[in-house]
Amino acid sequence: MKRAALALVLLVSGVTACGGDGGAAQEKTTLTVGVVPVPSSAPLFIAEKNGFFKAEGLTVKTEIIQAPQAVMPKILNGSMDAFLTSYVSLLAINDSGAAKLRLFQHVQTAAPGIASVVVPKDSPIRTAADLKGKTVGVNVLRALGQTVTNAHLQQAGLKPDDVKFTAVPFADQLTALSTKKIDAAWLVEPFLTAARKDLGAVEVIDTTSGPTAGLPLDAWGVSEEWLTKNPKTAAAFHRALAKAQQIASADRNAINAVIPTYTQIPAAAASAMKLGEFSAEVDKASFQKLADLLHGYGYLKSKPDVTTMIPSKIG
Amino acid sequence: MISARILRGVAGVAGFLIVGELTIRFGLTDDVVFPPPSLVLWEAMGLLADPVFLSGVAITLTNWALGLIASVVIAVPLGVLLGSLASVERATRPLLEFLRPIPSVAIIPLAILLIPVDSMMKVSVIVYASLWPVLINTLYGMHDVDPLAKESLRSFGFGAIDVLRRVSLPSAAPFMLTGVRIAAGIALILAVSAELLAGGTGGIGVFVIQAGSGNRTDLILAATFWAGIIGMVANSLLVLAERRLFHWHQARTGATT
Repeated sequence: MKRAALALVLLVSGVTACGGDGGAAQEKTTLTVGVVPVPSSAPLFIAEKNGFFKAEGLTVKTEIIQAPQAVMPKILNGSMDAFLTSYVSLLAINDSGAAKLRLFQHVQTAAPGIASVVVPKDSPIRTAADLKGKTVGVNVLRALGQTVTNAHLQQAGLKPDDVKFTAVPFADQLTALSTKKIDAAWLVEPFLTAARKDLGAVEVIDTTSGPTAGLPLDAWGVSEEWLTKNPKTAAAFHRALAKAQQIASADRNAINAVIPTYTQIPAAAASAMKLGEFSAEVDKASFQKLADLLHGYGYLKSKPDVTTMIPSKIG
Repeated sequence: MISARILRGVAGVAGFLIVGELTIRFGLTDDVVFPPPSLVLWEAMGLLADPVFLSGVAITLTNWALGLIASVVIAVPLGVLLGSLASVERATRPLLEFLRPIPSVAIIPLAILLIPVDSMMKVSVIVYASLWPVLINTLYGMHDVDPLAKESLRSFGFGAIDVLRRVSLPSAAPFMLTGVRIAAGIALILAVSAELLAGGTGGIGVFVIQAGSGNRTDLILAATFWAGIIGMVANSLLVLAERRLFHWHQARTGATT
């Protein structure tokens, strides 16, 4: 075992050394990026398809991940360079002190109709106020779903405690809803469309409109340490991603075309599902609003200043 | 005889599938979204032509095989050593008994943190988990050696190494193989669990993550179906090997074939 470990160390250091020689002055030319198999990851695959990484002298390898929380150790020990993260995860990880994460490139901002609280078609619940005393399934507790639902409950005159939230993975929500394990479910695409189509589910709250309109959803994240260690690589990687982001924001078909290549969402469902806005940069005020909402409900310990998480300049 | 047994097994599986199919299609209301067995089996057949899934299976099986081989290479000599030296065994036993019941899946996050290379991390947790059944079975096998046979050889002037080679090892070998068979199942569980937790470039677990994010319960179940088949095939092959190699052992212990 010891010999194997030693061989491994030699192998790894050899690989790193070779990587350094390849690109002109770039700290690193082979990057491992954690990709969540959801539409927000599309720009990375658009960049790869169009050769943007190659043009910058970068080789990007992707690893499928569930969420950055699950691979924090890989991010901390440097075996994962960048990753797709929700803004909520970014804030939560920074708040926990597990790592200092930075927003690298914005991806998706919420648009109305892409995340909703829905009920079965025969449910008596029809408005946010009807949810009093009911159970709502969210994919993760104390995260985006609960936060945006709370904001709408408050608007309807309820307190967050008036509703019981329970954690159910998206993939199981439809079953939980149909077997009445939960009274309502907070769903995002493609599950939202499936719930409407397969169950005839009815929307009670559009959680990405009204008091929670325009919240930022997902972005590419890196650790602060990685950013300071690899400024030139970061600049090159960022140029490629930003270019792909531009394509994604202008051409929905470009997103549709890559989704089936890294997810199990069929092409037809990919083009049918609603998506948010793929804008170039995050709206700082909306980012701060999200942070304040999370902190207001007690899901973050300290009140964050989001400008500290946005690097002033990359590279 | 054998054909009757197989027939009964097939009937059992078919009956189960039909009951599942009918329950999902007619027993539950229209509002329940759960893929019936026929759809899952159809998708499972489709996966055989899916290059992404097949390369994933290859990755999972490679980790599985590497982990299993490494655990045998470590655990068998260790078990033989501990089994022959009572004092060493007594000294290490508390540590082994402490480490053994720790659920191996619980060490995956620690492994992710400590081992930066993804496949090395996955193989390591497989090794850790499958070490125990092989080690413990080897130990029991060594304890179970007929003392009379050992004594006879000694009285004929054979040395410790010869006793080990001629009596202890052959006598403990069936136990070792049983350990490997148990470990094979555990190794598969760990191979898929590590992928589910840590993600990765490919694998059965990675495929399940993708299917889950795409609302494809049918594909999750189809991938799980193949994981089950792989486990079953590995187990049957090892049972076959046990019967072929150690027929005399089963005769001795009275186990029926």
